[in-house]
Amino acid sequence: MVNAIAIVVIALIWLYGWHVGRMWTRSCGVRERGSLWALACVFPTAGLAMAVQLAAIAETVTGRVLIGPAQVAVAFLLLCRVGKGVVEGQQHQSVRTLRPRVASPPGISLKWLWAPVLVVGLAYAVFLADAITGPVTGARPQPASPPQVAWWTGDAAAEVVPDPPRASVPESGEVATFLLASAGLERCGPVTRLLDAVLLAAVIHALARSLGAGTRAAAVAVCITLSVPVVLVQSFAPGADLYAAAAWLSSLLAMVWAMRVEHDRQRRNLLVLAGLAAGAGVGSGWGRLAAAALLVLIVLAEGWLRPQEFRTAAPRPLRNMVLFCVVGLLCSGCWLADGLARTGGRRLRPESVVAAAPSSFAEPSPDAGVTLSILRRRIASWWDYPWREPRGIENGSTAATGAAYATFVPIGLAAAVFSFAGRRFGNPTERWKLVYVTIACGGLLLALVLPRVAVRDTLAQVLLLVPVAAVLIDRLMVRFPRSVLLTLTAALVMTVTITAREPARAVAERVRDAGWHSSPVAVTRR
Amino acid sequence: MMEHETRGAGLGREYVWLGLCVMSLVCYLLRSEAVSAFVRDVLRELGER
Repeated sequence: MVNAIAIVVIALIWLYGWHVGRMWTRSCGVRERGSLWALACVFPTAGLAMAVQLAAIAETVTGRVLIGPAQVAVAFLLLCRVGKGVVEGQQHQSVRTLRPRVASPPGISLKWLWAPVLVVGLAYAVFLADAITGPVTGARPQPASPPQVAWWTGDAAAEVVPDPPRASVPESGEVATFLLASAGLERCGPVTRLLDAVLLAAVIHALARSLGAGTRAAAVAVCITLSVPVVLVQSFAPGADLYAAAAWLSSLLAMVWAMRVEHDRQRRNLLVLAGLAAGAGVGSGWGRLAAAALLVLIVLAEGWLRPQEFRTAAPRPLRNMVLFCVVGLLCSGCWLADGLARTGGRRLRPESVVAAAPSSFAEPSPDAGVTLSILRRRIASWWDYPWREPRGIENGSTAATGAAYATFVPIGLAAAVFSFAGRRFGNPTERWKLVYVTIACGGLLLALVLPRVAVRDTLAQVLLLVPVAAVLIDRLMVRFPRSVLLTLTAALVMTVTITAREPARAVAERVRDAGWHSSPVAVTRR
Repeated sequence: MMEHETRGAGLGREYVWLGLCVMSLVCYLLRSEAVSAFVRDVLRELGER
């Protein structure tokens, strides 16, 4: 009961943090509604991750099991108050920002967009119905790589955490799941995960707009993103990948705005937001550290990307990089220490916990290290991606990017690269497009080289290409609106039918048998 | 005339891009293991009935 109250308090503090984040973002000159709301989510999301880490540090230092929703709530509230104090202390400056003015293509009315939106909406409705009516416990227990639900349940925590009790904390992307589980509210999990999906949609829309796509093409990009099977499945099932992708792309969005604002103070505050978001993403798995390094490239190139009229202050790439990295580490430093301790032979947390969790994912073990033969094998496996899923993945549907993605994204990338031929990159939008596509290609290379699980661990890099495709879709929609939307809808129907088939069947069976389940998440010790 | 030619060239190019997108979709449908597994399942279920 105490934990349940603490969860409600944390939810309220999150809303308060979102309000503070909105004030922060507005003071930085962000005016576009989608970007404003998306970037406002960064502050409470990173704040919650930091609060958990503070509690973890306290646990390590004192040697007592302290982490619980109530302690997290107190730390979270303190951090939000500090953030509000910082925002209020900012000088009010005149706000002038530059945004690419992109007119919607003529001749396309919103009515043509209903079909793809309806298809994607139906898929989410089916998964939601499955999450509401289905059992919480999955049939297939999977080894817990991060500490699982047990940490958050009082008695179980005492049993699982070895003596003397030491820091035992989940990674950032799992925090909400574990907090809810501690109060027996696992069934509310999809609410937090759907929030990640909404955040992802807002960020993709804003990134597509930043590259010069119109609102309708950006909406199509959102439909493609939400139809990617991993995104669809993780909007309802546990997993940190969707969270990490949303955080990483939010960081990129903050950088987009950092290039558009007039004052250095606003730029600095946006880089703080970018660092917080990147830290939250990195804190959801250290494999994402390399992807965060890609963001540093943008931080360094910020001076070059800034419009001519805003180049009043000299570019400070070194300061920007240090600020970005330090703030990022604030959100993920505890996990780094944990990782280092484990590498050095010590463990800050046990790893031998098995928690049954509803998951559609198989856990293929990634290759250790990169040798030439492994690299050759990966290239052989990936060369025709995304038209064919990388081999060796048990669950093909979640390793796929989906038909809509495969239809537009590779061609959109080719069109973007083709459009660079003969360009001089005189205006900021063109420069940004060049940097963006370079980062996207770098992300693809990382996905190939690093020992990762296909699509899931590289979700941010995979989705990074969708806004690039939106630029081509924008051009195509001017000439062939019906053909584009027909092709998109057909592709979406195919993807959604494959991905949502099992949940739809399960829901239909439950409706027929009137069998609702409510078994709790089982926690056992191996 | 010049503008007409430019537009024509642009239109031709966009036809190419749209054609490539459709080809990309067809390629996915033919090569994806998820799609082939789905088709196999559906055919098997239809056969069982």
